[in-house]
This record gives sequence, C-alpha cells and structure tokens, in this order.
Amino acid sequence: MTRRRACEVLIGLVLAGVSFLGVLYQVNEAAAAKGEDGGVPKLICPLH
Amino acid sequence: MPVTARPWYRRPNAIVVAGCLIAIITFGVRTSFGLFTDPLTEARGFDREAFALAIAFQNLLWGLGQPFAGAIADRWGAGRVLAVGGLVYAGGVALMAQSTSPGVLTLTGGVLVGLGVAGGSFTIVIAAFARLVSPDRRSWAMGLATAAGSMGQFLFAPLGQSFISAYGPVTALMLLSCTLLLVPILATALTGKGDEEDTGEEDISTRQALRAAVTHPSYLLLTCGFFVCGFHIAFISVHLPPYLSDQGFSKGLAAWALSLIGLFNVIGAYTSGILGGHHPRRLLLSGIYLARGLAFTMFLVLPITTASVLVFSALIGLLWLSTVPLTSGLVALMFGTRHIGMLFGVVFLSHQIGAFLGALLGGTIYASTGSYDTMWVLCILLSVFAAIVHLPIREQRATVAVVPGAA
Repeated sequence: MTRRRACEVLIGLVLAGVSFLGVLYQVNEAAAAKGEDGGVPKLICPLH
Repeated sequence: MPVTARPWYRRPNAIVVAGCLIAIITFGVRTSFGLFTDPLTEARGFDREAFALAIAFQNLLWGLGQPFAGAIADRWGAGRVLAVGGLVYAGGVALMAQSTSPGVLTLTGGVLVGLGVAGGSFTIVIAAFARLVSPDRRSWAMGLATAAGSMGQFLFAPLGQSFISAYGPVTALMLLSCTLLLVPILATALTGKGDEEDTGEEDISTRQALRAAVTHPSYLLLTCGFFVCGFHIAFISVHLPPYLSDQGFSKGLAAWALSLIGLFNVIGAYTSGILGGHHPRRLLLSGIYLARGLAFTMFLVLPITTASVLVFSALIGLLWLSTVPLTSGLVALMFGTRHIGMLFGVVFLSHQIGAFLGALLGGTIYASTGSYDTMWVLCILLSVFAAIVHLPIREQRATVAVVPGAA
C-alpha cells in the first residue's frame, strides 16, 4: 500500500468514526426526546 | 520566469483542509436549523409554518443563487465569494435570531441565509477544488469535501443542542453565527483561480460557456441525472419517517434509519470520490442509480422488517451523495475549470428542483391515494431512467466553438 493510499484510508476511517459517534448521539437524543416529533432526528441531508 | 513560493496556507493540503472545514461549518450550521424549530417558535411566538416557510425560501434562494454565485466565483475567484457568502450567511443567522415576525424571519433565515449558503458553501468549495487541486487528486478532494460536509451534521447537532440547552435558542443562533465568521478566514486559502492559463482552455465568456454547455448532449444528460438524485433524497428525507410509522414501526427505528443514512452517506461520498479518480465516472453514476432502483424495488417488494429497514438505510446512505463528486468531476472534465462554478451551479439547480418535486409529490400523492406506493414506483422508474441517461455521456473534453463577438 502506498503512503498516499494509506492516508486516504486513514482519513476515511476518521470520517466514519466521527460519524458513527454522531449516529450514537442522534439515536440517544431521539430515544430521550418527547413530544409529537420526538424520536426522529430533524436533520439529515446537508443538501436539504 | 521566477517561481514565487506559495505561502503555507495556499499549499494543496492546506487548501483541502480549509475547504473541508468550510463545508463542515456551513453544512453543520444549516442542518442544525431543525433543532431550532420548536425552541425558536416558542421564544418568538411564531408558528411552525412560519419557520417552515423561511426554510423553504432558504432552499429556493440557495438553488437559484448557485449559478450566479458560481459565475461570480469563476470571474473573481472562489475565495472572495466564499468570504462574502460566509459573512452574509453569518449575518442572516444572527438576524434570524433577532427576527420578531414571520415576515422578517423569511427575509433573514430564508432569503439572507439562502443567498449566504449559495455563496459561502459546498458548490463553491467544489469549484475551488476543481481549480486549485491537481487533476490526479481532484476527485478524491471533491469526495472528501462532500463527506466532510455530510459529517458536519454530526458535529453541529450536539453543539447546537448544547448551545440551546445552555443559553436558549436566540443566543445559540448568535453563537452559531459566530462560528460562521471562520468561513471568510478559511476562504483565504481558496483564493485565486488556479493555473487554468496553462491548461489550454479556451478563453470564452460566461455566456458562451453556458451556451456551449446547454447545447451539449452530455451536459444535459448529466443535468437530468442529478435532477433524479435530488428527487430521491428529498423524498426519502421527508417521507421515510412517516412511511415507517404507517408500517407500524416506532419513531426510534426511523431515528436509526435516518442516522444510518447519514453515516453511510459519509462513507459513500468519500469512496466515490476515490473511485472517480480511477474509473469512468459515467459508469459509476449509472451503477449508483441502478443500485438505488434495486434498493427501492427490494424495499417495496420484500416484507418490511426492522432488519430490512436498517439494510435499506445503509444501502441508500452509501448511494446518497456519492453522486456529487462524480457529477462535479464530469463537469470539470467536459468543460474545464474556468467556468466550473457556474456550470456546476446550473446542474445543482436541477438537483434542487428535483428535491422540491420529490418532497412535494410525496405529500401530494400520499394525500390523494393514502399510500406511498406510487412514489416508490416513480422512484424506481426514475432510477432506471437516470442509470440509462448516464451511459451515453462522453467522458472527454467538450469542443467549444468560440464565436467572435458573441460574448
């Protein structure tokens, strides 16, 4: 594996790791949410 | 001619880092607006419709403003547009916090923020990367920017929520506005128009470039394909939770589904950027839309279970914004980088129109039939359509006929 490819993989793992922590946060928040919309995150796609 | 050494903040790695940070901040702030729906409407005495109208205007102005912001970036440099866009965005968010009537909220959170997002975020960063990053790393950088922007939602959701909990929605918006002031600073790394003078691109005007693009079959096919992308993801974003609720699933599962889409979106966008640097982009795009069609079909035909919902979410997440680095890369490949901001802005506008229709038709069809089945079928048909239209795209530099005096 070249150094460049290793960097690409490492960056990908960091992105995925941070996002996975974000998933856990969102799901925990959703589980704790109350009210009519409680349970569904109000954010998802950055393009919308 | 003596070569002047670039300052550290204008070197390729610094450019990529700065662009990704801009994508994280601008998208992160924007996706956190949903957290303010209830607190801000309660604090200011609005109803939800007023907040929704402001966000609808924001989307509209973003889409309509994108080609113009892109054209200005092509002419004056992405760094300047990002700096001004970031300031407008920050101002819009700050004034949004101070809005005391629905009309003012529409002007601030809708019009100002929409224009700020058009000038200060994602597509302009992509255009800057197209010019400033070397062709062999361009696709990777575009994928990285897309993934970073998507990851922004995961960083700013807890940040926005903690601001709201600690200081209330008004102060929280002011604090988010302050984070947006980092954009003009980061934009200094993305100034300049690259080295297009050395790439042999024709020196044509914005009007000539637009005319050449809209009469080029491959560009039109690409634009049609991106329309379908917007249609799909807006429909899923808006209507998947109520669909799951109709099927008897808990809101907790909807939360998992949307979060998984977000997670796999980051992975998919980044991976497609890497793949786009090594494989024909039109075939990758065709494969993505075909895979979306298969995922929709399986989801519609097979018995719906918790497992199938989670698998569907992961699959759709992988295919979510993976189209962006490939589509923007194709525009750069076909027409060069001199007018990439404006030309990708036009393609992006078609995406936003598709998104508008996807969200709208989902609601309209459900209201008239009491079911989303027709929409799922429409999504499948559009997937097939998009998979087909990408195949004849000619993945090579388009020949632009320069008509003297036509500028």
